[in-house]
Amino acid sequence: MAPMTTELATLRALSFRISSTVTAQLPQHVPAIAASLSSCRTLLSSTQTSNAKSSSEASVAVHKFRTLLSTLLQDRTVQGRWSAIVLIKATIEVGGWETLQKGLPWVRGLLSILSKPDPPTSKKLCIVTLTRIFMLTREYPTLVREITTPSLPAFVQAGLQIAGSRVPPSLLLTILESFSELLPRHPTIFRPHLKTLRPLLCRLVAPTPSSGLSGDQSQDAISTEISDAARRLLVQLPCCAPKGASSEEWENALRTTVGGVHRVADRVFRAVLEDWQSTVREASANGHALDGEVQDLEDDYLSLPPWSGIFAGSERLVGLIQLVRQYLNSPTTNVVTFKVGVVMDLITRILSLTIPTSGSKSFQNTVRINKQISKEERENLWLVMPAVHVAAIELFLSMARRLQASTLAIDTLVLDQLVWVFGSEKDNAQVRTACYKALAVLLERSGVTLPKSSVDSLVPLIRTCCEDLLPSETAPAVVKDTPGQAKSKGNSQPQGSANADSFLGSKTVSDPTASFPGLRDAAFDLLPELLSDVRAQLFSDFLRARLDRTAVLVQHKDAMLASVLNPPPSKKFGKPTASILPLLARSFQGDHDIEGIMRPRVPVIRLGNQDTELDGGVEEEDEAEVDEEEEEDVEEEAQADESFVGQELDTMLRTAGETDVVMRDSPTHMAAENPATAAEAPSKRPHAGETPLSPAKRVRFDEAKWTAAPAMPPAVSAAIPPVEDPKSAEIPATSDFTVSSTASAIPDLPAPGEGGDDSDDDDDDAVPLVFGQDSDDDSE
Amino acid sequence: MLTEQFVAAISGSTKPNTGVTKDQGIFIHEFQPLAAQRHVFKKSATAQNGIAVSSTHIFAAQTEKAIVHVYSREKGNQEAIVPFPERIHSIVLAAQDTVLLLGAESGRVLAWEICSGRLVSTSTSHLQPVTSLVVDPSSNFFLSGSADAMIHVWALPSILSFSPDTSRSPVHTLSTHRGPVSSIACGHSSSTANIAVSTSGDKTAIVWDYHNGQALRTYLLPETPTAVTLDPADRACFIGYADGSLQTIDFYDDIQKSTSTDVLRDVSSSHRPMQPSPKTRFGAESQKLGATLSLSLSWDGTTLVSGHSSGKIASWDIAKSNYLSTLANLSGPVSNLHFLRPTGFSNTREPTFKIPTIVKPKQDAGLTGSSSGLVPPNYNLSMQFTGSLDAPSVSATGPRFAKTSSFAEALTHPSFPTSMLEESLAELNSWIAPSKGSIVTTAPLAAPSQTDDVEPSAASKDASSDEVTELKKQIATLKGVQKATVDQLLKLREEKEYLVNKEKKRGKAKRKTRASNGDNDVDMSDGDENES
Repeated sequence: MAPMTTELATLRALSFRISSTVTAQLPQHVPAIAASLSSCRTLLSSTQTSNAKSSSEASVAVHKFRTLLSTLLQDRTVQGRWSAIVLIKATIEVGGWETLQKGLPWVRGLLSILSKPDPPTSKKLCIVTLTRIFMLTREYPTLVREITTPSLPAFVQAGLQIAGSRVPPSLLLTILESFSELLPRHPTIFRPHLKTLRPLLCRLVAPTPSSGLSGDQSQDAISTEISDAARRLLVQLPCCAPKGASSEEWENALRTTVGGVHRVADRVFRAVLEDWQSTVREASANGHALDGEVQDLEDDYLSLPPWSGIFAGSERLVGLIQLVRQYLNSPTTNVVTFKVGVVMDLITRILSLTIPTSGSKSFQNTVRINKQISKEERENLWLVMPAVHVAAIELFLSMARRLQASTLAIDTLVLDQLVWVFGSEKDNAQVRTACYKALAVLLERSGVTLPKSSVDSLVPLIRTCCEDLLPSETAPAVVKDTPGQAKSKGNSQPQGSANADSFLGSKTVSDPTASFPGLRDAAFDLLPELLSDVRAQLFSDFLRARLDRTAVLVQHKDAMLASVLNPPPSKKFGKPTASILPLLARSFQGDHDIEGIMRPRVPVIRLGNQDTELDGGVEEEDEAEVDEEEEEDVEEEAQADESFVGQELDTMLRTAGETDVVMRDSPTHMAAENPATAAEAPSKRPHAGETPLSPAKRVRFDEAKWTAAPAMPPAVSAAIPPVEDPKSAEIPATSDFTVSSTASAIPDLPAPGEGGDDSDDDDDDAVPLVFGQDSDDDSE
Repeated sequence: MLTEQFVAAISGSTKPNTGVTKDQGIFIHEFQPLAAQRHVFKKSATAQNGIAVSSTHIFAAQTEKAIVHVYSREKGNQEAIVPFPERIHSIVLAAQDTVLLLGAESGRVLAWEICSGRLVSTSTSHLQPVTSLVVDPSSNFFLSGSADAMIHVWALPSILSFSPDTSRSPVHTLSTHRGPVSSIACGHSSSTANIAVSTSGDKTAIVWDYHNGQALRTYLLPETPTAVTLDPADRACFIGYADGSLQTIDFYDDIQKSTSTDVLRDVSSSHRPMQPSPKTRFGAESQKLGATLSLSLSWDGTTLVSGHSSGKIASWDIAKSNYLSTLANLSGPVSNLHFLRPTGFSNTREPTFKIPTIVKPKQDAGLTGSSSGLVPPNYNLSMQFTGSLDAPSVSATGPRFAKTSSFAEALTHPSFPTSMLEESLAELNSWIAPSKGSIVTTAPLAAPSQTDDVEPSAASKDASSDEVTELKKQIATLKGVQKATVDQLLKLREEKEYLVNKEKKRGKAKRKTRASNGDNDVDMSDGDENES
């Protein structure tokens, strides 16, 4: 009851603080009060029907607190109502069912605030609080019936009313987000309001701020957040369809949206003749409205507002592609048929129209130009294309993320298109970022199976990725490196363009990618995928060295690790290839991943060998292994004379096994021996061990076995007594080990520690070897 | 709490009078915490390697028939019977349970995308029925073993590709076996260092580096192996024999102990067959288990479960190599055993989609591949999208992670996020309701006005009074008070300025009126001037 008393005191103090503060000053106190409310969780959520005295006190306190809030909610002042909103939110968060159940008056009060001329931010808080109440009641059907169902229609109505008027963007955003939270759960309540909601959203989903129309609504700028929230809500609308029809509605909505994208693209792309041929829809005759400005004044297809001008068109296009993407990002209530073919057709169309490069690469330069359209419009089209391409790649990324491995079939297709787009637009940082991200996804899924031709086509992209991560210091010179200059081979910079500042301290040259953290991150994430998921044979030595160098110089642990784990094939026969393992070890000392590579623990775990498994401590042995190694020498001596019989037996078995393997090398011998083995096997099943021994050894073994014990594994019975002697806590593990080590170490006595210190030896051997290799490589 | 289950299937009922219903064919058995039968699916008889289990469905290739039964695990009933052009000898799921691979009688492998109904086939590379199929953990490769002693390695993406010029023939062919391949197990690595183990009727088990098509090691076995499974850490494999016994083959055996290199990958020793120590073989003759037909390993890798021709499912302690118990006694030979991933981990990631119903294969829908290499227009996936994805939009300048929206943050916050409260407070302080007066501003004004009253009174007292000591005392206290109030005043001004500046910075909130500016004190109008 002690915590309850503390909580009671806290609640009383809070109530007093609320009631004793002037309402006008209350808001300053409220954050503190709300924070302390969370410590009254038990009290507020407990049932107040128990009859103990303290609990009646508690119920009085809780009741008083609630009444206080209700009064505040009806307060005349804005401050009072504001305080009530915040406190109610804090209370229902901790209050549980008990508080919710008495929350109907609060909900009514909060709803009335929405229609009062309160500050927008306080309405915002109010909407959040109401949404939270509706969400919390979901788990309790009675509360849904009592609270949510009666009040939600009024809430939707009020929300729509606010959204319909001119409101601050943040309030509109809150309403949209609140609706998209509530709509999937209460489709029937929202259904009657769809008529109002849909036009509102259509205005927001794909805004065209640079539209040339100065017509009806010179609407305020719609922020990306709002259009994003509107898209999220719009794709949820099919939930409201009558029972069973929601999947169909969803599919129709998606199809219409994709159709809308094509429709806009028809207009925006009119300056060129596209090579793309749809697999889905018949190519629309590109003959409409070739004169005048590109525009769409009556979009009756999606009932979106009209737009005019190529820039507005591209904004609409991007907005609609993002709407398609949102269909993938949002959950669906039922099974839906997602038309991969249709969406891929759209992606293909957009990605196959690339900006012609002015360079000599003629194969990329095949865009056919529509002569009827002015040059200006065509050049404007090239200006907007990168943004459209980024949107299309984003669409693919969402598809890959949603459908996971089920898009395995289309991966190679997308890869080709990515390379294509990258080839012509790699100067655009956004396009580069998008390509890196998409490539990382593709490689992670099916990089290992990529053929050489695909990997070769990726080389420019990989080079740029390294460049973005590690800008070469001579980058400006490379750009200016015209063929004529290359011949003169010196510092014969044209004097006219020389920048006097460049002769001064150039140490402070800022990193050109510093202002593109997103680009850098995308390249950073791509690098380990390149090193781990592409077969090492498919990279040229030069490219591989470039990747390794980048990984080392940017100190990218994952990439270095990937490089070590996926070593390049050795070109020179018999010589191991260079590894950056030493650099990795230097850079990340004490890191667990590196420790795992350099001092692997796996081989120490031995399974199924009857010598080692007396107590079943196979798994524990793993952890305790390091300690055991240290103890080994001591234990070895101690055990040497104790478990005498078992050792002898084990030693014999070992030698028997070894000779046997050598003998088996000749297949004829094996064939001769096999029938004997088979014949013997059934009779000796319980002691199946001895069958393949050489005849001489078998006799000795059998003798030894019969003398040892008739029990099943002879070694066990012989070795157990010494093991059970010491009773200390760590015995199970050590005893287990010593039994095995005595068996294995005795024959190796001339070189003690060889078996046990296996991993350390390994380490010592490996490091100098690789070091030498690496320096070798550097000098080349 | 974790719950671990396994699925067992029998190859036809052989015991007529066991008291159980005769047509039970697939059994879901809980292994931990309470060993008991949990669910039964009826009307199924499957040969070895004839069962594939996804999170939503169980696929069962029927013996001696060209059909696959599909059972819904959620509904607990038979969902579909899917006919195929030829008999199916082995099945396995790939690509996150969205592709079912089927080893056919004619020696080819069919790939059925269960969301789209697309059915593609590999080339007929095997000369005999494909009896075993395994998929590697990355779903990029699968291995098919056949009675013709061959193992083919295939690349799944190129089999599934729409492109007409991709090869539908194997990447590698592993042809060292001299007898029919009885079973294959694939290692647990997604990297190119992965291994696979195959057993064959020629009494060998071979460890393969299937990425390079190399045999790493050959083990000579004492008898004809029937089933194989691999340790979770790929340290050993377990082989079942026709006499009901089992054997552990430890890859890190005695020879490994005396050398520092990884013997398994030592090319120089790969040509030399090895004979595992006979001591590693174990069995339980008294249990009359019958031939081992299937093997599966528990999640923690400590318990081996074997299905036998007598219908018994036995569990074995791997560490001690001994018999533990008989988990179940089914009504027919236990041809398939699959441990399922335990359920009940605290933070499991929700899959992004669910496949409540399968789409039957459409043989002639033109989905196999188009001449243009493009995706056919009628290629559709039927699935339910679960959970919303937070796919941040690509931005070269933005941060790596998209921040969650302030609404979502506020929704689950114990009260409200501080930033939201501060913004709202700032607006509240400068908010002048259209109808009401300046309630906000009077409160801070109280302090300065009081100090004004006090100051003159203190001065007058100073001039008139005689009792200096008392007055000095009073002055001292009053000065203290004055200082405190002036400090307070300054602080309030600072706070005011700060809030007003902040408000200005936000620039979002709009003032609706300037009408009542006259009511304000100097501070307030200053602030307003600054703003405007």
